[in-house]
Amino acid sequence: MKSQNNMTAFKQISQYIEESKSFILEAGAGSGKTYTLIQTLNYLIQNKGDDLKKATKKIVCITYTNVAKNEIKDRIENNELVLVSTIHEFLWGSIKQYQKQLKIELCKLNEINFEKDKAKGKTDSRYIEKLADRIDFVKKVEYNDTSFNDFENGIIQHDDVIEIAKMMYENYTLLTDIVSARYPYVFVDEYQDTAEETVFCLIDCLLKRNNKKVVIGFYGDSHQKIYDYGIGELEKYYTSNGGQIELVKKEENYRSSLSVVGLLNNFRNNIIQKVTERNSR
Amino acid sequence: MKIKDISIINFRLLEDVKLNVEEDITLIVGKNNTGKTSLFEVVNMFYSEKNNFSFHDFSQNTYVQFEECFRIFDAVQKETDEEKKEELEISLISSMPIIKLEIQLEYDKEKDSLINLSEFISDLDDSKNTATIKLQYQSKDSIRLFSLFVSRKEKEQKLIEWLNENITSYYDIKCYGGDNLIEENFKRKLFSVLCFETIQASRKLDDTKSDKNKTLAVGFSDYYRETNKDNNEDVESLEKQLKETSLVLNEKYESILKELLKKLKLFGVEPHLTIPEIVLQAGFDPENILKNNIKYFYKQDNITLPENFNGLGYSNLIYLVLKVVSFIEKFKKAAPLNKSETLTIFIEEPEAHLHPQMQQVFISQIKRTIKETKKKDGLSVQVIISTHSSHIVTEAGIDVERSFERIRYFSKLYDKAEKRYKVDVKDFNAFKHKESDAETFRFLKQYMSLHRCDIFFADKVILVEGTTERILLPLMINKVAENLNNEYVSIIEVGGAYTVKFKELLKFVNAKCLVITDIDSINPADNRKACPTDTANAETSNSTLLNWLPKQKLITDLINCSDKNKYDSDLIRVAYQIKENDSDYVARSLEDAVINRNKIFFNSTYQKDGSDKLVKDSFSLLKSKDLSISPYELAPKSGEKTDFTFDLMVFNEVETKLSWNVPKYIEEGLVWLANNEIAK
Repeated sequence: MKSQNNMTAFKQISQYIEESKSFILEAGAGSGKTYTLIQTLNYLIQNKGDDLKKATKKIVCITYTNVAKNEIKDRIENNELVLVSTIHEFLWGSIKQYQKQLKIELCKLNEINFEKDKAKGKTDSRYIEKLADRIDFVKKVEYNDTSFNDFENGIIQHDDVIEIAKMMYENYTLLTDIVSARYPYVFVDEYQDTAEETVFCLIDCLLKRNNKKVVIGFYGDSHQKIYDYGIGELEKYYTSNGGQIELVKKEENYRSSLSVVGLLNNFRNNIIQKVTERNSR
Repeated sequence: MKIKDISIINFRLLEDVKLNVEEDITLIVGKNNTGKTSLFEVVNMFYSEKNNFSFHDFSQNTYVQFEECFRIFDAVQKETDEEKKEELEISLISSMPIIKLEIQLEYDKEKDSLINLSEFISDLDDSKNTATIKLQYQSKDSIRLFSLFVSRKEKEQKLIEWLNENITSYYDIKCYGGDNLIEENFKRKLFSVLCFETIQASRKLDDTKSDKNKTLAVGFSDYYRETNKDNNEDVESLEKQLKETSLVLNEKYESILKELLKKLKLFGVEPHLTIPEIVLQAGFDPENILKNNIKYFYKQDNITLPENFNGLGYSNLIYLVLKVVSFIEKFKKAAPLNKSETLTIFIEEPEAHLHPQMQQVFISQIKRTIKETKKKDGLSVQVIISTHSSHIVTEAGIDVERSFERIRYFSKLYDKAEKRYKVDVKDFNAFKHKESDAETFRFLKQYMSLHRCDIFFADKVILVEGTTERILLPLMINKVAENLNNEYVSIIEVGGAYTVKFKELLKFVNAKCLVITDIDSINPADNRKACPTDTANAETSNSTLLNWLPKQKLITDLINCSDKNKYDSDLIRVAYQIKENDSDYVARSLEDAVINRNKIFFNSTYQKDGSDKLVKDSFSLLKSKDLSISPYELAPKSGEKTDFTFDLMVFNEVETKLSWNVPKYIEEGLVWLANNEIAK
């Protein structure tokens, strides 16, 4: 592994891509993580673009916010080979056409939520038991963020998308077959804020069933988790722990001075940042 | 991946039909005007770059639906309650007639690419492997459509008339994958999955010497255009040769036109306004040369004949084969971005100008091409052929594996409830005998292929016992049911026990059918030997009468059987010997019946060459016989039957001013058959 440490993070990533291996880029604050993601996308556009275009396949880049989405789109000049979308857009886009199965899973989700509310002793639960009996009245399962979720009318909301996507990905192999055929490369920015369910969709379902057909790259920093429900870290999926994800570390720090880096290195233990020449003075 | 079935709703004659498509060749057969061409048309219209739909493309049953929608619209306008108004609006939108084409595709999860196809998959069930393409010509603004109708200038104009002129502005084509609307760029997505090519019936074949329409030239240049030219040495050397020739020609032209070019230069008035210099360049491209500059000759022995000296038949055959091969080449080399997953070729009535043997050559060529493409390139091509030719049906269908199953029979059925005809597509995969009675199925297959059976194209069918009926029927039709001459009547000669085997087939093709058979009386007391019909306790030995119609054993019961027991559904009727108007005698065979019916005729005399002649003397059978004995005794024995038939056929009714009559049972049957009123 020594030799790899001498390579830049991007070089390692491109090597893993060639070997069809999924990876995680663990990059500290100020290390230029986003730029590495852009480099990865450009590398694929340059080297695999023609093949992808011929086969009408696309690269997926999942961002956490719409701001980040637009930034990446700008940086790759809106290249049509890359589908840049938020996690909700991507997951919903991949499942929304399978209404028959969505209804089945919606019923299951309804029962789970109903039981949860009941266990909590909630008296004003928005879920009514046995949706399956009434599901035929639901014309279409739709994702609508502007209102509350209303399973009785087939309307699901932000958080439901994550849960129902997990159920769909888990239960239908044809779905993961289709997603892997259409999107052989999936990259997730700020992975630490991604919900556990989503990581399950991508690694336990999509990647495990279609190993070598699809490459998934996670970019982020386990120490920068902002939101409670974010998964934080993916250590159990590392190849060193018997998983399928290769770890790539980016240890440069372009932003901070030596003393700041020293401080950082003192309280975190998974990355040892190095000060680049530029800001070592 | 392949097409599994095609459904059409509300398009011209095709109100609601579904057609299962075979893996290689599917045959569309049926009478004229049963919507065979509409099937090809609807696919082409949805696939065309332009929207060519008009109100005429809606089937007639939609007119009532449009009127009903207008009533709902009217109710919407009058309704004041918001909730009810909304409900009515929703019902209006969902009631608007739609022209729909639905194509079900079957894919193989392991082999087929799901990338493009996945747009059209809407069910993740692992046991299902179908994707659905739904194309609809549907209303985009129903409320506005009817509002504008209400405010039309010419108030006397009726709804349908108005729609005829205005509907195109309010209807649009939409594409769905299953039930999911495909919003952007659906044509590209559609083309990336499924590609259709059509060879129409009205091919431009020219039999004049004017040489205007060079079928072969066009066929060959099309083929050249579609073949893959990359890394093809022959193509490269051809192009190189053309380039060299162009250079030589350029010089020659230039030296010829040198003087003219010089003069042109002098036309400039002043230095600023000179005519730009003109340079000549010969532009040759191989495709155009094949089309315009190469003459095609047919080689016959040592003489070569120009293309247009050959019969239309050969031109047509070669043209068709070239076309099919070009389609396949085009499909193979399509730029990856435009490549679709499957190719389906429609061929409309390929039999035009082809004599029967050539039709068979054509079909076997197509079959071979499909097989080879599959083997060599791993591409499956589905061909759908519409035809009026029993030879094509035989070659492509009946005599090979998956025989009848290839045939899709288009027929018009009368809907009693709605009092009008509807087109229905029947499929031999659903044919009753297929599984339950393999022997009958095999018999029918065998019969149809040996006799080039035209039952699929017939308006009406007559089943007869033997040659006598077959020869005499045209004469009898002229005498009692002349109208039948205006229809296509298929006469099928099938005797004895086999007639009943046609039962399901006749019901299947849904054509009006008369079964003419013999009463075949036998005497159970005398070793079941043939006997006159008035023998005591006589029974019939005819299995049709015993087991099918009217299911009677005793001759007396058969003779007294009422007409209503002689029908199977409204469409099949049996006819066997009955009493003539003037006697109680019932004949046993056709000949017997003819003699009985025509006693007076046979005993008549006519003038010829100045002397009286007896009619019966023209008949070798009856000559010098006493006609007062029983016709049963007079009737010809098996060896004499044909002579009697031919004597009857050649008897000159015009010259003698005498005519024979059709036995009553046949007359009744033919009159029934000729009647086109629906009620029995």
